[in-house]
Amino acid sequence: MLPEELLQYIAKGDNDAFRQLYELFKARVYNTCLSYLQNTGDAEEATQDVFVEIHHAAAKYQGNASVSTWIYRITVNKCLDRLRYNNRQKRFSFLTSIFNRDTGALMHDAPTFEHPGVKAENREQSIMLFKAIRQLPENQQTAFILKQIEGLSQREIANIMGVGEKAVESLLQRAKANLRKILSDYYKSDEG
Amino acid sequence: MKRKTFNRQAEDILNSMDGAARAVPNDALFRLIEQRVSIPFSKGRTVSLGTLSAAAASVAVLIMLNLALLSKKQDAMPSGDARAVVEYYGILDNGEMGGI
Repeated sequence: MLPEELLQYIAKGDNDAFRQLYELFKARVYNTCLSYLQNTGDAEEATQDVFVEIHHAAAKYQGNASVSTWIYRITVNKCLDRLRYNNRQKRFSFLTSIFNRDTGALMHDAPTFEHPGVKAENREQSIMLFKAIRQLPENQQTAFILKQIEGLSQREIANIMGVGEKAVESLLQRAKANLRKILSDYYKSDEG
Repeated sequence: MKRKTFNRQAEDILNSMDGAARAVPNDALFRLIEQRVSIPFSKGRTVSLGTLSAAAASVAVLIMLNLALLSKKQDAMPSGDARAVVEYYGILDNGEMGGI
């Protein structure tokens, strides 16, 4: 059954159709969430939020965009909401507990993230990449994740982000330039 | 030379997710989603901490404004008027009402 048809059945309360849609999109949704949030617990919660939203909004799907684009759009929005929430929490906890009470170490440094699907020979580089991605502005992060990690075309990314293809191209160029700069800073601090 | 090495390293890092497999969620995740979906919307709906804080702050401001207004009114009431009210309603010193 086509995803569009599955959504129609979901809107009528068909649980089997919901399960089928979940199986079709679970890896795309979860992998995107994991790339943004870099934490399995947060990624699982965001994936839940996405599918709950899909279930509630199935009747509202009008077919203006493909189901894949519609689901990616929901996913990106949920991830950005959660990232903003996490950042707010971090800012607040930074004020209350800058130092770990036991070790005296700084607590606000995010832990390193290892993507479970990365090839063994690229493991170290991907850790550096995800650390650098965290520092990009939201729209550059979105363009880069959807292109480099999800492997979507510029047209698909443009539809998801609601911008033109040229804008996506420019966002990707800026994202790569910023990542190179961030990485060169790491490189310098490692040498120094 | 160093610059060249760094450029190559940076490119390797930027392309390090090439050929990576998509991560797949835990098998139990769908059951959790089903549970959330089966809860009626009115029961499953949550209010964010921000909304709750804003509502609490609004109530606190309203209470404070009311208290400030009441205390201002009490201060402004001339003692003669207060006496007249007490006499009119026959309120005794011990707080009991007189015979109306």
